[in-house]
Amino acid sequence: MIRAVLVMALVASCGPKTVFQLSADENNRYELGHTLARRQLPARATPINAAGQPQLFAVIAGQPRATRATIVAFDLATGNARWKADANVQSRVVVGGDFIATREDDALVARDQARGAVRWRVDVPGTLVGHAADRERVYAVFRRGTAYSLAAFAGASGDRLWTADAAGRLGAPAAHGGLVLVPFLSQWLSIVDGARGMQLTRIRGIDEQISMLRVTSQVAYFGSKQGVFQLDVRSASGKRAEATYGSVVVPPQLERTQYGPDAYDAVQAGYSAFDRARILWTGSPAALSRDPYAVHYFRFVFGFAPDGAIRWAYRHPRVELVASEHTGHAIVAVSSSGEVVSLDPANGAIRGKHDLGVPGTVVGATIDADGWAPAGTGPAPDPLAALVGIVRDPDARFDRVKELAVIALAKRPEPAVTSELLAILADPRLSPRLEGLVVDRLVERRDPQGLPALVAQLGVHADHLAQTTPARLGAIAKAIAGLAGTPIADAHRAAAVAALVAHLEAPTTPAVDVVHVIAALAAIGDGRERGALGWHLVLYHADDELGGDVAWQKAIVGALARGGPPERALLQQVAADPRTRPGLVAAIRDLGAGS
Amino acid sequence: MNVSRWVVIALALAIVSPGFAQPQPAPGRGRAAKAPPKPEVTKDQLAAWIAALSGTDLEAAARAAVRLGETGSPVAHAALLDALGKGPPPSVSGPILLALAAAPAPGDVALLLRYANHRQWPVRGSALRALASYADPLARQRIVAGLRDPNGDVRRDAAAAAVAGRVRDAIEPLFALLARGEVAAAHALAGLADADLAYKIADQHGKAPDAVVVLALLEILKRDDVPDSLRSTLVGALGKIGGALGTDALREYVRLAEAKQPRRASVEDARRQLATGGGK
Repeated sequence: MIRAVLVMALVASCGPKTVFQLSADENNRYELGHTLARRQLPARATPINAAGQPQLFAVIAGQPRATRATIVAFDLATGNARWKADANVQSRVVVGGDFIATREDDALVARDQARGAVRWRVDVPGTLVGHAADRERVYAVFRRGTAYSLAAFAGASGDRLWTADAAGRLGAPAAHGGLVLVPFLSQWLSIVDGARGMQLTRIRGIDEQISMLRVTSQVAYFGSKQGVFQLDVRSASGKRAEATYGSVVVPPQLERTQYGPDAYDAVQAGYSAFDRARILWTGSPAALSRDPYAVHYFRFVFGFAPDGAIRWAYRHPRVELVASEHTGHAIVAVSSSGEVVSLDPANGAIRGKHDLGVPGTVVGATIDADGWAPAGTGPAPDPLAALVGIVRDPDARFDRVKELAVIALAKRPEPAVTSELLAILADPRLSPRLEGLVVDRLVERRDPQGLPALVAQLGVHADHLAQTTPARLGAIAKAIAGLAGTPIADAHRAAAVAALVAHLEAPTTPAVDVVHVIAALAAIGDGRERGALGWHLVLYHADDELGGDVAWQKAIVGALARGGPPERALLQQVAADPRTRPGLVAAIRDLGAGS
Repeated sequence: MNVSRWVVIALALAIVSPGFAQPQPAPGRGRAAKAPPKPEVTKDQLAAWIAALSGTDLEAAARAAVRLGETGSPVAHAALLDALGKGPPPSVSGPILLALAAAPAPGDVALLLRYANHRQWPVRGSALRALASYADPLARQRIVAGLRDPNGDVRRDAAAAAVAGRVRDAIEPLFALLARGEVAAAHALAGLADADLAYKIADQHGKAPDAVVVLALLEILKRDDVPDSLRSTLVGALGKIGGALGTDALREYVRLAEAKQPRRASVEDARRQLATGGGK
């Protein structure tokens, strides 16, 4: 408390100044170049911490929730926890040279990075919008009512070094090589001297808002949900075309995925679900269109080719990954149950797996491991098996992800894909939406080599004693119908026709499936199907139920109309029967088959 | 009474009661069923019924099918077969199927098999009952398959057809249905039972619900062709089942037997079982 009073007194004596104003020099290429040149950046990618050790700081929820959380410092190189400390953490952990900083209760608290002991604590003069750190200082944006300020604190002592007021809304800051990057009024990225608190220059986003910041040891990025600018001289234009800018293709199934936290969203000032849906990349944004990238999406990590095709997939068992970071050589992720997994960005191979070794649920983590390459290597996972695993995952929350996996699976060339899609189709837990998707993909594949697998699925019939019923008959029939016109081996065709006829004639086949079976027979039967279809018409043309089904009428008439003179004669005979269902007579006449 | 003794009794019955122990001949294999006298039918009447078969008055068509079946004439049979080949509405198909089977001809089976798969279960059931009149192996296979039909009414028809056609291959699925408590299976097994089968049914206590086992045993006891020594075995099995079901069945057997042969040993056995609390 005394310290807070002293800080306030110091602040009063310094006199806060309005640094962030509506009118200022902006998009000045010369000033930006001069400003960026001031940054003290490492020659090679390295963690922020002064020791240069790859590490992460995880926040573990109290048990029960009402109790204090725990911060765990974990050394990624050795795979061991270095320390843990109880703390009522209410923000992200930011990493400095030899300290970390968090918001705990209503105070900004710095802890010794080596042991976890509290180094200093200052009361937060308002609501903490966000904070950042470089090796020497902590920078924090506060809001009091509608007034926003950026303040700097010495990492060693907690002394408040300067305060810069704003004439409007500030977002959460980022620190980079001695500069502080602060989004201002969604339009500007203000660049402030970390040592003195003076705005050095600023960039106005012309093509899109500025609401996202991400920094590595060597590169600073800014942008929005639409894409990423690299903070370099070219970014002075504020325009995508003239800047080092890039964006990636994110499938619609991975909705809400973003390049980094929204600096203006109070929720994202702490660890949240937004940390579980992130695009992971390294290097220049301009290379995003030609380099692979990855997306962390809750329990899954997908590796994408530049064109948006899935190259690999990782599925974390049971629980979500709550934090992830691309170090340049590895994708490091932390699960809610405390597992730390390192993936090879090239192929998804697991290069390292550790455990925080602390019970409880991890709510979030900050990974300070830029440039780190895990020592371990693992076999590249089979992409086919990985995708199948995702689709068949029992977790019902991720149907959209399963959709994505089905789409990716169906695009793969392996012959086993058809069998895998069928096995997926046989899963009774499959949602109707996924079922439709799998069927559509099976149809699109038009894989005649897959016909035996499709026929094998038709081997199950309704049997009271065996307690069996055919599964997804209509779907399989649709997939077989999709093979129309493809080269099919005679033996395969004969087996398929026999299997389909068995279902055509089975009394329990639902009418909707009968329609698909008829279509499949007509598509691949090559004449073998006509006898069975003819008898089918004879049996049901006067039947009130199936005979009155409009879809069935169209299907059976359409299938037989493609036949020869005997089939046409049969249609004529049926059309002339006074007991034939009127709709069926009309269908025959519409096709001109019965005249 | 222990199981080994039942085995001895069953074997003995098989030896001394050839009439019961041997399966009855299947249809079409020389069974000397006395055919009812055929009604006199005029040509005009026949023609009218044949015309009605294909008419839009479905009730008249069904009645005509019955009449044509009763004639037993080859012309009527051909007309029925022809009508069936044109796919009549379900309400007419059933009567035609049964009428056709009144004078079975080997050439009928192929068409009957198609109707045995009909989507309307009454048609399916009629086809199965009709198939019982044919010795064709395909007909018998289809009856056995009918015991697996998801529709209980069709399974009942298949079970009845199995009895009517003396389809021994139906016994195994009938036991499976008995284990699930299907009453139709109890009736059918009782109807098919020779001495061996009767013993096997008696041995189902604990493997199938008591109600259907008791029902099957009682049905066998009601038959006139069962030797009294086997009756005693079945009475013993009912006593072993005991409880309200076993006791009621024993009472029912005693009641029925008193009217016919009250001094049968098996009746005395039943009375003793009842007097001693159902054999428990």
